[in-house]
Amino acid sequence: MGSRSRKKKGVEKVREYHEALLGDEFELFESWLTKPLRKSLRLNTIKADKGWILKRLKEELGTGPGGFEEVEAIPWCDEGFWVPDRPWGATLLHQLGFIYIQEAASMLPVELLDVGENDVVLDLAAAPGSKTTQLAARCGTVVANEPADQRRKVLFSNLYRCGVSNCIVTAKNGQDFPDDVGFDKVLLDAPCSDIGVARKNSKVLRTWSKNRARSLAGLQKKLIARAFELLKPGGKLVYSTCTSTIEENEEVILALLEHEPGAKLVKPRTKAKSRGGLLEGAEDVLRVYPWDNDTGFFFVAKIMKKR
Amino acid sequence: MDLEGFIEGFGVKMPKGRIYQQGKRLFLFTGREVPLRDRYKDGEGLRLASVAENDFRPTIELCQMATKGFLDVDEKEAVTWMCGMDLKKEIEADYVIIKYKEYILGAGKPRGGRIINSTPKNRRLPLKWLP
Repeated sequence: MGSRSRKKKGVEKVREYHEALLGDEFELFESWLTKPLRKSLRLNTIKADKGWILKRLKEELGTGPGGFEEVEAIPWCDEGFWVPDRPWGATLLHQLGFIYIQEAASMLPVELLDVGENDVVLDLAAAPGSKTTQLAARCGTVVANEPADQRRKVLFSNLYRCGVSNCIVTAKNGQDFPDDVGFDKVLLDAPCSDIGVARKNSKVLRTWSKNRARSLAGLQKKLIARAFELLKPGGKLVYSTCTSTIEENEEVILALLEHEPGAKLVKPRTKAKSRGGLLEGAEDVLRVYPWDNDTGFFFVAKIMKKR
Repeated sequence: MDLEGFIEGFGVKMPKGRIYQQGKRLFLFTGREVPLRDRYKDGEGLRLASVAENDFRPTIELCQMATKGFLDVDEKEAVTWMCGMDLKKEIEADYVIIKYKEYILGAGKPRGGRIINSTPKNRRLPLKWLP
């Protein structure tokens, strides 16, 4: 089968699935899936304060079309900004570690984890490190886990570039992570079928299938079960994905709630436009759709471990 | 030069933490010590420098903690440096920290009328930007 027909088949499956999932909003889905993703970045306050970096950003962009006037604050993240489309990865600000190029919706999970400066936080699926570096700026200690060697190299590179000195990197399969430490907070940004990144990389649509989503859901259920076990009583877990399927989102949450009587779903509060979950018992989660805030798809659930 | 000499010479202000050496690399860890067994750890903290016999190479991050001893360069030299190229400059010192406007770009070793560049490849600007 040629790549063209493979792509078509994958896209068809995505369409079919989302037509049933989204109902009246399916037309919006179709039109938004092909719109280029709005560029956004996060200021890295580990290296310098926000005002200093904004000043440098202003110098970099100048004024006029495509200039600093087009920079817009992302309402749900103090350090997040939408910026004009530029090769940000090849700027001094990036190469010297003052900014992290990060999708606006992907700033949500760390925002919702409510980390404190003395917290010990586990990032169970850490690479490439956008959320790890975001966490490191806010808490006492981060343990960043990434089992894949190549992905861990990228994680290290981003941690060093961002000047992160309060992070321990581990290389375990998430579902086997050792229980040496009880964590105040755990972030599980789970591996997923990535529908949410289609605006940035349409290739994800080629390989998408419901079977793959189901298979990933199996892994996600193991990961969330372990993530929850690793929490201290009273601790908080944020589960997130950048995909839209019920199998990888609400069903994963419901599986945890069913097996763990000590788990309580907490309604996340955010300035991002969003809607609740699509299954009974999992309504108190965030579903962020591209047309809500001009981002990719995102799903976030917040779970507390009862004392 | 060693870390102590570098800290003193360049007025490095380093956050409190544990400095340790692993192989030929020096690290700084500022987090809380957690009871995670060593065999699970693949790395800990921020890389400060590479050390070998008679060779001390500070990372960009260590240089960014410096407060004095900078060599100010112009835009053309800054881009040349960040593209990974040596700078043609006659300077007598063990090390210089290159600074462009508000940006600290890293350290170089003056030798034979040049400042030798050891900026890692993944931190360089694209070569097409070379002036």
